Amino acid sequence: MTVGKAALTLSRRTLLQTGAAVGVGLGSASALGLAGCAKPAKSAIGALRFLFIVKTVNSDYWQTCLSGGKHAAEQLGLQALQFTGANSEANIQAQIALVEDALAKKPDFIVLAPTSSTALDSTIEKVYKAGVKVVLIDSAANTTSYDTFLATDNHAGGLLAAKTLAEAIKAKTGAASGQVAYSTFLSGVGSLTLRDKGFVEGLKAYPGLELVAHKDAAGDQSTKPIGIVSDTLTRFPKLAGYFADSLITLQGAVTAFRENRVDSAKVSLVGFDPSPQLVRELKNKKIDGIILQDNYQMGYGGVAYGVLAAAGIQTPKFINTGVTAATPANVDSEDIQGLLNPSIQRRVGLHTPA
Amino acid sequence: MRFGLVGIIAVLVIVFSATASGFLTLQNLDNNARQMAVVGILAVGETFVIITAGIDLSVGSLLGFGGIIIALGLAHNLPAGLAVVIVLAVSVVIGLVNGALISSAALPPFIVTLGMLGILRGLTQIFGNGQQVGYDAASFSNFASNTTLGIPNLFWILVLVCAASAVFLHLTRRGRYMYAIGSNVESARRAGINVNATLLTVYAISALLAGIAGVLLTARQAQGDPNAGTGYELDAIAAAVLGGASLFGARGSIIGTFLGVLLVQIMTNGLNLLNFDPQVARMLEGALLILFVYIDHLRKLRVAAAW
Amino acid sequence: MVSAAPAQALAPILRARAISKRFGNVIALQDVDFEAYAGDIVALIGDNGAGKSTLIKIISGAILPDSGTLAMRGSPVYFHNPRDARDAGIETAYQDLALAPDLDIPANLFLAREIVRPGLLGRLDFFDRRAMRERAEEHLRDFGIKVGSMEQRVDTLSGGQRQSIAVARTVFWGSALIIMDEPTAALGVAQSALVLDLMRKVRDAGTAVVFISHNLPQVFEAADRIAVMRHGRRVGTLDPRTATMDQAVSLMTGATTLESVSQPRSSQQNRGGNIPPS
Repeated sequence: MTVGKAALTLSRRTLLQTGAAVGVGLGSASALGLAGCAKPAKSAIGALRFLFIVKTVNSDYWQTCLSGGKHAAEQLGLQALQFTGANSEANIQAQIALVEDALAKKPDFIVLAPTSSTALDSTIEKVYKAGVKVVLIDSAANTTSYDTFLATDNHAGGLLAAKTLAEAIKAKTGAASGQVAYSTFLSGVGSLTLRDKGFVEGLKAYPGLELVAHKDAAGDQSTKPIGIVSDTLTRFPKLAGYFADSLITLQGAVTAFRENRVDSAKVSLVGFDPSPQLVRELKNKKIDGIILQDNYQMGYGGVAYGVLAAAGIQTPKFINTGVTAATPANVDSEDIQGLLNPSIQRRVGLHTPA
Repeated sequence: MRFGLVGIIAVLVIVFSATASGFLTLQNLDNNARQMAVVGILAVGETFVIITAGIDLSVGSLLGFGGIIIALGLAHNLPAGLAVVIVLAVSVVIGLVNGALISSAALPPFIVTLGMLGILRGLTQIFGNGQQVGYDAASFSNFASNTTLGIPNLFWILVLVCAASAVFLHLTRRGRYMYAIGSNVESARRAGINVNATLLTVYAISALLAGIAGVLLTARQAQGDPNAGTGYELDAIAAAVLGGASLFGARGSIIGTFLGVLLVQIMTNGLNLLNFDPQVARMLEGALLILFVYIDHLRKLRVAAAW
Repeated sequence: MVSAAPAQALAPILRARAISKRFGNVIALQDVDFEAYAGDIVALIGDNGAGKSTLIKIISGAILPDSGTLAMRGSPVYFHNPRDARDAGIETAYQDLALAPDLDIPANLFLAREIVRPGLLGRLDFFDRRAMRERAEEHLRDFGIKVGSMEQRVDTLSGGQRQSIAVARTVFWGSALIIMDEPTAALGVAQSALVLDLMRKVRDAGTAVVFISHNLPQVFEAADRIAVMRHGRRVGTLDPRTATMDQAVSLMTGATTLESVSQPRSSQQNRGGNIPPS
């Protein structure tokens, strides 16, 4: 159930398969014309120097991303100068310093997840002008001085959430109809706004579904994500389905459903981003779908596209790393387990096509 | 001042009962009771501090810190009882540090507790490694969603905290010393009140209650969140002030604070049930908060004029 | 007023001897002697900087003298802090009203000395609101202090009433010596009269009163003796019944000095006679 702009979607499977076949992990490269020079490029590729800088190393999310990058480097036979990140996602200055230090090492390319969409612009431009190839991952920067940007298409994620929710409602009630509502973690956050827009747009494909309420947790990570869902459940006792656009609001919805003794055989719940606790709830069918991003692939693709760019190949400006819906039915599949658990993914290495 | 607040609450209840579908249901009562517990407990602790003319900005961070500590303890299979005791003990120690810096070192409470806010939030992120901390202790997390005699356990805890605090603050000598210090710290000192010991007690109580709130939130969320409680110190202060506490000290009561918390809760709940756009609801909440304090202020002026 | 007192009444409640205090290069007090007697109001006057406040702070334990001794009822005492002085029976009713303005009258009278409930509740630190209220009412009645309701916050009282409550509190706790620092400074005529009247009642109840004031008419009206200070020294003692305010002023300003002050105080009858500094 991967959604994305087909031509530009980087598929890990094809990437790894082709990579394995030609000895370098550059599946998409064949489509882009690299295949022919794959062999002579191998030694050249092995000599490429790069840095991989995420927002912070103190986070599972970024560790997953880093392990994707390391996996790619290993398969391509590259030695990274550094896999690094700041001590916190809020430490913009530390990341700027890391990028400036990176330039001093004269790498062939860098993979960067910018902490700020504006504060790093001039630094990124400096690096780019110095002839270093720049691959941005996860978060955008307000500059055009980069080669490729790999990220989740959040709008597509919202569309997928609507579809997943509609299907769950249909499975429970026999028809994709009834009242639905959603909550956002914080209004005004770009990625969340895109998810919400995608969700609302996706609902239009189901005329039976009526959006009756949306609430804002206002960035609270404590009681408000629970309270807004409770109040929606009180106001709309016949609610058929609920969408939460982030980890925090999904957790809040799960708690509110539990406290309000919502019958999950009748009411459906879909949301973004997994945690071990939420995956457990998914397996218990308290949640009907978790939209997964592929941060592992961001890391992997970041290195792979960095190599392409360093080889002088024109790379696409945007790569959607894809969103996938985990459901109670598919959660134990190898594919979903791979997305949920990068250590499994890493061990599996080459996925067989589904 | 309490009757003013009771009146405002009564008006809100009548208005929402008539207009907001689902407002007058047991389930909604249940939700409101659960919903107000965490902030309510923080606000009670804040009331003690405000009565001494102090302020405690560290309670939201301490809530998050306590929540992470207990989640880590449970994740490492500590017995729940022991984990709770550890968190409460650590909280009290943090409160004593606040109190010592404010009383003995004579630093301003605003600065001391602002500093502690940062220290604790940083510690929380380090301890939790910037992550939510899950745990596997169903009995512990069930406590937060269960009820006793039909009333949510969370609300029971709030009621117990309020009752114990009200007795202590209004009926014992140590409670009275808190008002005396807030009224005129120099005269309290000259009268022979041990001001330093009293301030230590006050900040320890505030911290203890923040720790309790952290434990309850972690139970309710079935995990610890390093960002939990961010900004809650302001909600707690607002509720206490709404309940009649004065930031200049010596005024405020536990029942008033309880009513303040109840008022904010009912207002938020009612506006949600009326299904306002969230941003409009936010503006309305802010405007109503100012309006209620203004009404209360006018009423007090009238009372003062009647003397 | 007070009738003739037995002979032991002549022994001062408090005797300060040869007190000196410097603050850096400034000599605040030099070899000052001072006495206060039971049932006697001694006024302490002097220009600003004459050393009145320093002397009072030493007597009330707020600062330590560099040299000199204090004795209560003939026994030497050492005050390291105001608490020591208070424990010895010296209370100060401060100029800035040492009350908790937000608390009611009984709460202020009993501040830090609350009556606790009998039994277990008392051991749990519960105070006895009713007992305190009753005793407070009784006490205020004894001293003729009239307030409206006992439940009213002290900051709703008039200035004179508040000063009266502050004085009543110190008397209430059986102080042997009460220091009243500018008790009428912020008060109108009627309110001042109230406080001076209370001061006399306190004196009549057998307490020693030290009265610090810049208001010479009030000093001459209320005091039994007047101790004059100038430049950190005690320059003399006046009898308000015989001395004039002009004499007081010229002593304070150093225009004259007092030589004829060597008669020891012989009895209560000649209270107010010139008392030697030692």
